[in-house]
Amino acid sequence: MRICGNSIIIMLLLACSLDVLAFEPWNVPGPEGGRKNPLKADKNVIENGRIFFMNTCKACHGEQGLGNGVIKAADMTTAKFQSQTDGELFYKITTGRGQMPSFKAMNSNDLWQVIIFIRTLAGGAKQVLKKNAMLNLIIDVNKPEKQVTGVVYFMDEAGQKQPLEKIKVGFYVQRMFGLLPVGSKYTNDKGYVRLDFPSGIIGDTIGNLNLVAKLEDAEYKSADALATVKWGLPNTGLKKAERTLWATNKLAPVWLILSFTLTLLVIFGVIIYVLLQVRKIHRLGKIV
Amino acid sequence: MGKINDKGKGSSRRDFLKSGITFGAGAIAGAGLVSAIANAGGKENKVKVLTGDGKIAEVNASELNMISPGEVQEKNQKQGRIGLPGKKFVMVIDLSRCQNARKCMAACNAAHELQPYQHHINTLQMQDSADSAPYYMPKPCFHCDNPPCVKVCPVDATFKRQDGIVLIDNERCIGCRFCISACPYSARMFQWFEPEMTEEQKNRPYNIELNVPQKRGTVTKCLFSADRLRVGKLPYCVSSCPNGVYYFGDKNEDAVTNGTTGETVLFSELIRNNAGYTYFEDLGTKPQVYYLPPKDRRTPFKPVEDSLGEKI
Repeated sequence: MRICGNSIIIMLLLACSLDVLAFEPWNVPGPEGGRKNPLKADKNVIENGRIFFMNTCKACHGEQGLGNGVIKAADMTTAKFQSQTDGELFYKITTGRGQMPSFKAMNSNDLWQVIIFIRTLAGGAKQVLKKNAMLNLIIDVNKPEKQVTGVVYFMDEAGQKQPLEKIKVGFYVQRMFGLLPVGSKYTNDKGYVRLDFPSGIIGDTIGNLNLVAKLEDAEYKSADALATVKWGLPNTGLKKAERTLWATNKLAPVWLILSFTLTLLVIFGVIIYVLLQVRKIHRLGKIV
Repeated sequence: MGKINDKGKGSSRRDFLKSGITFGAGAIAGAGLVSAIANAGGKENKVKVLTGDGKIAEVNASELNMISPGEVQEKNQKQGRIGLPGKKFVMVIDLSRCQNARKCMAACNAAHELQPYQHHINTLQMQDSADSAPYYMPKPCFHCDNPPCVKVCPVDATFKRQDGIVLIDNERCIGCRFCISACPYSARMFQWFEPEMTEEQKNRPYNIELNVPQKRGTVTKCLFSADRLRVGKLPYCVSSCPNGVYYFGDKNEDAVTNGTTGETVLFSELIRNNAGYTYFEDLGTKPQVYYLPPKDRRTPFKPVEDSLGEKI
């Protein structure tokens, strides 16, 4: 009993020490915490930071940085988290602790960019009321150039179409498991965006492609426009099953079927021939 | 889904129901996933069934064609042999991103009902020589275009489909293990022991695209999650990776999609820009799983230690 009691105390102590370890403040050496972010926040930096975040941090920290990914991670939206300096965040990202890996091997420019993006997560996912916008595609199939034009506009109170300037439109091609980006452009002052479609994209058997255009802007609701165009290369992979050595019986190579049948015929032929000869000898014996 | 409300078109509706009920009735008969509720109120008895895509539909009881587990299995066997027309599946594994999270293995083992010591996919700690840098390497079946395993099967149990996937029919397999010896990648494993499951689980219709229920005395291996591909989803391992290691797609379309980020890229460009390679390509097996070298690691390599602090 005594040993048992002791071991329980030890386990309790261990549990406490583990807890202490988990909540131990993560101190950053003074000079490290004082480092300044060499980059300034702009649309491009935030977008690059967002892409990096989605590729590297999202899995654990969650899409909105709430720390609700596949493992429990720090909530990036709290005031306490956001009160850290850029230098402190940079130090923690490059050093790592416990489940948080060290990202020392990454490009430091990417890390500074993601820190700027993390700042946009402050206060949690804000309910942003996005405005409505429309996206239409114009494709002239008679023209030899593979060119697609998108028009972005919104309807004003009078019911008139008003073009939207500097709105990002991304163009994609539908693939089996996702959308393959083929280019993105910003609209001009008339709300137009023109993209020269790249050649060499593989379509279906006759080269048809499902083109998807997406309005991607922080201020406006995302809108999709779809079109089927015959700008792709024909899919030549759709071959009939070939005769191969590893195929099922039905598609075995002709030489294999022939040689196998021939071997069987020869073997059984010889056996039958021998049996016939034996019968002949037997008969000859009877006559004598 | 639209066809179910379209009362004018009897034949097309029936066709739809056939495909939907196959799954629904299979589930009723097999695992009891669905409770069929007879509706006594109307003129005709209505029955609720679960369609193949997980939606609940209501059909007339008289039109309900109960399909026995045997018929479900027969359908599985037939479609499993043919594969998805016009596809050629390919996987790309980015070694620089693997941190040995082992989520792929957990998802795979759960789907294929494997014991913790059995692996269709395994993450290995690799070090090519004493001076070279160690890295982690997830290793599934490579679904070779010239598969040595298929050539040696004496009973036509293992086969390569037109979409490139190499599968095993555990109903045909006699357990000779020729294929295990023939595979240069040790991708196959043998079920030495009776898998742990209830009598009810054991009586489920066998799914050739999932190798479930597993059978003692037969061979099993990675299936590229053929059952998931049939419904247009990424394989279990690919979609459960937290580190963006896996890309998967159709080589005929020349596009692969990352299971973590959902980003789709050109397969040929990915391989060309990152010096993608296949394992033991000099054997002429033409593997369909490509590796990207462990260059520019995202995080430094952390060796796995056992309870005694020894590196494993």
